[in-house]
Amino acid sequence: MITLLSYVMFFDPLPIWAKPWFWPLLLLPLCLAVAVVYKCVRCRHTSQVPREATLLFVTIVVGMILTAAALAGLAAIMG
Amino acid sequence: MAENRSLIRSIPMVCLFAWLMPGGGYLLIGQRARGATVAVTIIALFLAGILVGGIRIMDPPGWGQFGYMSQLVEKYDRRRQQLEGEYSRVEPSSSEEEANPGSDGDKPAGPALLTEPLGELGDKPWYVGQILCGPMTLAASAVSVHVAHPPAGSQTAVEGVPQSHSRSWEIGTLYTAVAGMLNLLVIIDSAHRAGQGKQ
Repeated sequence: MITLLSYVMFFDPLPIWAKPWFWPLLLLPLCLAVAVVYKCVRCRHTSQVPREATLLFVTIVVGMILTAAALAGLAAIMG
Repeated sequence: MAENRSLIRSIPMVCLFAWLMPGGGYLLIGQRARGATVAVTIIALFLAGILVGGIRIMDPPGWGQFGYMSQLVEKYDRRRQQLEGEYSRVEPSSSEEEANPGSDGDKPAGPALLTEPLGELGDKPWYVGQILCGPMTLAASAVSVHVAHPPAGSQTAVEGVPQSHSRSWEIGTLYTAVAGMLNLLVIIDSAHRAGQGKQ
């Protein structure tokens, strides 16, 4: 509690060390930013960006989940 | 169309503005919606990285743990009473130590960033990605270096604001470096569009 009270935003790291489920969620903003910027560069008209970026974001996230599952399966087989 | 009314089509100028401000290249060639979208996204990603990892993820090459410039010194061998001819890196914890690094007899060789720039950059290669975000990286680095100074009157060398570690540091550095790499993509694309507009 005292540690939380001393937390200064942007100066101290986010106080989320006690929540291990939170870490994988931090990949989502990164994937979203990559999808948005990439589609901004590639789309002819900016009106297409929201839909295209959403599709790409979902594709990236699903792809990463499937890759993680495959690697977990491989580790289970080898371990 | 009003959307495509460009101010400048000079490619070097577009590249410079795109580096100075994410999305600035697009704004310069008249693509305001694209520029605004990219600007908000890249700046938000950069700030999110600092939010997760703390300001100390901005760790410029050449500066040490306590926010003072790392120094190279030629070590003095007291037994043989001569300089060893070997250099070691010193991370000062005060401005006095920065001005007079090393122990008695050691010969200062200058700031490590000026003496061995590639070595310093090689120690912190992620800064190459971060610096592509432009002046906001330099500003954040200046703040990081400043807050790293030990508090006035402290008996032992301790960072003013400590660095984060492990996942916090990794995620924060990843966010800021990827923001820079995305800005590089945007710089190249805006320069390409500026060049196309000239033809």
